Amino acid sequence: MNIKSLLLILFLSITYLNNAQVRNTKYLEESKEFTWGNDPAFNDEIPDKWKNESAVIIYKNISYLLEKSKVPSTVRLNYIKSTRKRIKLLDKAAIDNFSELSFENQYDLSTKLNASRKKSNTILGIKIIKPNGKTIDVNVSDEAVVTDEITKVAVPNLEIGDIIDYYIYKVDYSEYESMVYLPEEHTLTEKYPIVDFKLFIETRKQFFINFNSYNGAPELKKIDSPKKSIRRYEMVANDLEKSNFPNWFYPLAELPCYKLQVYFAVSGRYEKYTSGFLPEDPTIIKKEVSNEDILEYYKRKIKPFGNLGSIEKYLKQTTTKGYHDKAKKTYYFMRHNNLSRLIEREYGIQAKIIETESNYYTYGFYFDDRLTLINHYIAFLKDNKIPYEIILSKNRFDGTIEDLLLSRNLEIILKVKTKTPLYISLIGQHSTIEHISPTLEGTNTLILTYKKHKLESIKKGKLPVSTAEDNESLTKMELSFNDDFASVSVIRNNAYKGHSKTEKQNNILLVRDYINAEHKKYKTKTYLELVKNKKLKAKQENEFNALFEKIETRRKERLTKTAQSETNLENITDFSFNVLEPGRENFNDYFVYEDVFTAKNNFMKKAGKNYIFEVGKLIGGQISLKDKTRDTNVYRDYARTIKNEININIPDGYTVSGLDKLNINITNETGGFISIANIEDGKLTITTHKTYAHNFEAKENWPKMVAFLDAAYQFTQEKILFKKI
Amino acid sequence: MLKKLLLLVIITFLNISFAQKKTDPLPEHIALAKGLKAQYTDDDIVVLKSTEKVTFHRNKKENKVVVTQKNHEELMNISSRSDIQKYITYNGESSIKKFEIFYRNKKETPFEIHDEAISDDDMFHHDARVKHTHLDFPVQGYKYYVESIKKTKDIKYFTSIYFTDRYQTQKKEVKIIVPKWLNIEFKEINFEGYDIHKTNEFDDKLDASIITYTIKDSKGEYDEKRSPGPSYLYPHILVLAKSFKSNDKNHTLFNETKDLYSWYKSLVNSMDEHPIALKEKVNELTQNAASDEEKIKNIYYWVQDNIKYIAFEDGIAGFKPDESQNVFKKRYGDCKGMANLTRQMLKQAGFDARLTWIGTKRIAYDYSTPSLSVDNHMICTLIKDGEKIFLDGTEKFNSFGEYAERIQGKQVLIENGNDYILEKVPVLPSVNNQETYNFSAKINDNALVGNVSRTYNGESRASILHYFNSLKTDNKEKALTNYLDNDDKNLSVSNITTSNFDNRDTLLTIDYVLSQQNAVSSFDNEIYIDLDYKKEFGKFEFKNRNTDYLFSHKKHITSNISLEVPNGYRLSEFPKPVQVDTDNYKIEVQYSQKGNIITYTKTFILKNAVLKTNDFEAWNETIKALSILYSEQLILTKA
Repeated sequence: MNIKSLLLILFLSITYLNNAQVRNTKYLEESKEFTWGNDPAFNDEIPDKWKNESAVIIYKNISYLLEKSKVPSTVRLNYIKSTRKRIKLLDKAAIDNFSELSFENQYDLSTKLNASRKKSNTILGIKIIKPNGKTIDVNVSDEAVVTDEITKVAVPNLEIGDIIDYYIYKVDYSEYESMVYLPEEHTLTEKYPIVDFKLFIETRKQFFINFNSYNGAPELKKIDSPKKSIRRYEMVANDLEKSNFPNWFYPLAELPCYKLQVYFAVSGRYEKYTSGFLPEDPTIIKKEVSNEDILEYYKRKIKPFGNLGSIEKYLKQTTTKGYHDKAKKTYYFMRHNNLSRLIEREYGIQAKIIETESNYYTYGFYFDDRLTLINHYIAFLKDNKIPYEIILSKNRFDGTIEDLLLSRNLEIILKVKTKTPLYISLIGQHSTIEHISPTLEGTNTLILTYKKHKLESIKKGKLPVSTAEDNESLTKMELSFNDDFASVSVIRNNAYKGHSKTEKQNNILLVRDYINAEHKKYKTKTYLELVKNKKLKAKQENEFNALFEKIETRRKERLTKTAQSETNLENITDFSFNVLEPGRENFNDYFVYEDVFTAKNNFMKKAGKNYIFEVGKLIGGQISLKDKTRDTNVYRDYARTIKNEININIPDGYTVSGLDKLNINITNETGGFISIANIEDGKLTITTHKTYAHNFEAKENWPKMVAFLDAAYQFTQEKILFKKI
Repeated sequence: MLKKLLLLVIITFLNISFAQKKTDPLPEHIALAKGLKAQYTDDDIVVLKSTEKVTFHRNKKENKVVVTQKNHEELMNISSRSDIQKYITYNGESSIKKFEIFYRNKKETPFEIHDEAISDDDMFHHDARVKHTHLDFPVQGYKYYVESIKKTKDIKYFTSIYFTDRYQTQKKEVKIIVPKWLNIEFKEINFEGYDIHKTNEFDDKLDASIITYTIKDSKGEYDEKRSPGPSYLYPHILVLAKSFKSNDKNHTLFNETKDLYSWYKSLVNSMDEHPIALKEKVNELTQNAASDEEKIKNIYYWVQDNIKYIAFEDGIAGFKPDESQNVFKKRYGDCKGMANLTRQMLKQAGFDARLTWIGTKRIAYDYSTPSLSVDNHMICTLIKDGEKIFLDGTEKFNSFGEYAERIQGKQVLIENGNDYILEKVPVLPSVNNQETYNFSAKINDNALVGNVSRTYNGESRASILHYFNSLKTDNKEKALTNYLDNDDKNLSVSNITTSNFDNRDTLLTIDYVLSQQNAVSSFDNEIYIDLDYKKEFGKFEFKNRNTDYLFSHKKHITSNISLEVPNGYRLSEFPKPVQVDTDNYKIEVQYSQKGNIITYTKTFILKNAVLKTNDFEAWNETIKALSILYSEQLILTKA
């Protein structure tokens, strides 16, 4: 690289940076004018009920400004989101919280010599108002420090009783004829209470907007604007209490919130390229989605598509009995052919064992998204004349399908209409064909029905819900005492089914545990078998072995920690484990693994000649509720039942007292905790069942849940006495 | 044309596979790796050989001495597969001229080197950066070479050369070429116990001394919590550059402490101070004060409470204090800014207050060594009635006259015009930090119920006050309850009364009623009681620890639990007491009985806030005995 070209590059980068700074100044003035230019006189009084808060937001404003300007051959768009908060700081914690403000710059500096078609600029403005009314303007560009992509400002001069009034004005600039901006879904409330809240939208021709308010949030209303070409809307709310986000809770399902999505299309031709539920008439904000909208949206998206060569080859060499069997076997073949089979290669690429990403040695592809998978599977169903329907639903955590507005909220499931229906939504390493995501179970749905593979109509439906028994986990533990009770030997058989096995399989199974059996079954070749060059194959085999040795060491460490946290036993040594059943063929199959280890006996307390044993701790930690009040509904992932069976070999020369405390039964319609203890043949057997009956409970039922949760916790505190004979 | 292309493809392909072969380990590498793994079972990476060459040259324009470090390292993976981050750090005073990774066949790797700011929770803004890359060693015996060149622009910031590394190092050679025009001393620190050889030869051609240190078989640096700072642990040399000749002139660097002080003072003198801006606040804080001490406390505590710690440590900001009027106006600063503000406010009030440099306990040196590595903190000294009292605005809720553990016993450098004063911060006894716990318990079903009284003094008081005062107001009551009941369902506290949480001078007291559930179990005619909820130090054994263990302050805990034996019951025997008293710690835990009251007393004193490695064996024995005592239940039998 010679001096000349170096200088040229230097010159250009300086110019470019200057442009960015100039543009920044432009937005600086504009953002200040927008935020503070038309401020009303604020009554900065705090309601009495909030005088003990850490901070109170006097005024919160979220504004979306959609601007465009036409230039030859293209159009320039600005999508501006401004978040402004005027906050009174009432204690030290609030001062600490607001003394350091930061944001990420997302400068999308193109390496091309011409300006980038897409860029972001973020401006921060800060004012401080003292109790005596004096206003201090903070010079952000002087105070800010920029490191890599983060801009930080240490806010000077903040004291208790001050008001900080700041805004973050983010400008997303682009030069495209059609744009789909990211949707926004937000609750109105946050961790500080709000006196006055306003959401403001200013828009122009060719911007299309979806917007609606939910769960009691006020409606968006049209307001006056200075020009006919500009439309303005606002949503106003006040006296918003701060939000409490407890666990087992979905904020968007219950708290007042809004959803917004903006699109831009220069003309009807470009409207087609923008994917989403665009309003017919851009001057009207679309609040709801109709059945017609949905049919139109999916008309072009769902169709049989894909090369069925591999599937056909597989079906030729496999016997199937009826549609159900055929559909099922095909799904598992796809899981192998388009995922499992490709994983080792993926490991190799990530660990730099395989130098390039080319398909040179293994032909195959992944399904990038649900729609691609579903369309491929529909092609198979169509070919084999197996009936199906498409189910559309929304996750439990972002509201119901009746409130559908954003296309990104829609989840799609393919239902195969065999005698026992089968559901397909994704392919995961251990996914099964009966599996419906727990976030979709029990939701209201829209069903797209097909006649001769043409989309015909929509009807309403509902997805089934798995029961607590479906999602059972069962741990059988055999425990013996060693050398004067200093340590214990434990053998555990851990079985999980339904949704309770998903996390376990993901955490425990490695591809090498099952891939060879799969290759044998589907008559496919492993990655290494496809490598032609002998030297390369030997080298890669060596490196794969080293890699998996390390991964397996990590897995063992992980499982040792799991055994520790599930039993509360510490100082685990001599740990070994074995996967007995991978449970990857049916949703109702158990995933079973066994672990064996020795641990320090930290539950045994000496009591003269006798011993007190904290047997309750062996079922692991239980939810401990100190505060039993709750004013929100309860959303759990899924109903489940957790069973433990503990078998303790009673040491010679001792009897056991205190079993009465281990016999517990608290059950009601929300679930329960049951424990039974008895002695037989020198063995103490304790079985516990904890059940969460539903994936949802109304808040009125919370005390019933507390009853059995408390019983489960109390069980962990119970002790038995080993009495010396 | 096609033939040529094909040939090219084949050659390239062969080259690739050829090159690939040449990066794989040879049988002798694998054998070496296996042998090393048998020896160093917990290590994954070993540095087989490391050489560092240090040279100096003069920047005549700026009258500075520039230091260049050239490093060459050979790393080998001794496990089945390893993945590490290899990195090199630098800041505003240094730059990295080269950072490259090579395969064992000396061909350069294509790995991307990333350059990022180092994230640091304590500093708001600083100029420390790191260049790093991900290195994967796919099989046992795999090697890489790492080459780097780092330039430090001014020798006064080049304070030390460490001989140990993150990884086990078989051999490291540090060669320092000292030209005649440079007057420099190398102070050897922590060499005992290491295999280090030194040679010193004069090279006529270079007109310089070549000092070579060779260290063999050094363990990787420890990754242990609460360790002493590296200057205590690892072998290194302090680089004391005293002066250099340039253009026939002699330029003094840090020849003696006086020179270090002169440089610090020149930075202080370059501040643009306008303390008149503080006058109004100083008047407000002192006009109604009844005594000098009250005036001083009002000012000192105001700085603690109202100036947030936000540290800008880039470039000279790391050494030059921020002007007092700036810290005052911004309401934030670092230790230097707070020390300066404290000084100026006290001076405005008519007191003799001085800026004071200090190295905290993290640093092993004192001012007898003139070097920038000797200190890392700044406080303020008040000289009154012939006494020196130290004030540290960064220690929130510190009481006037009390000193944080990290500065106790350390030497300070106090400004005194063109001269300086050396002094030592006094060492205070552990009893100043006493924490007491008193619980009078009665049995109520399966619970122990009664009144609890807790007191805190010294550093134990300061840390609680700091914690509580930083909580959101609406959380404070809940937080106090959570603190007292440990957020444990088994504990319920009520009727909480406390002394004033805004008073950092007096004994802090918290009284409440406690119900401790599941502490009592009944079987047949006997009651078993687990009296001790806290069981302090019950699991505090050291396993495989290599460095001293530092406590945040000298802990002094006394606990007294009394239990009323219910009518009709008697106690069988007591567990055996634990009583140990050594130079560094005292532990006394015992039971006694008078009438129908059982008393369980515990005393824990960490006399010097440290447990040294040669304490570990005896300490572990004590803890074993203690945990046996803790696991023994009190048994009450029906009489």
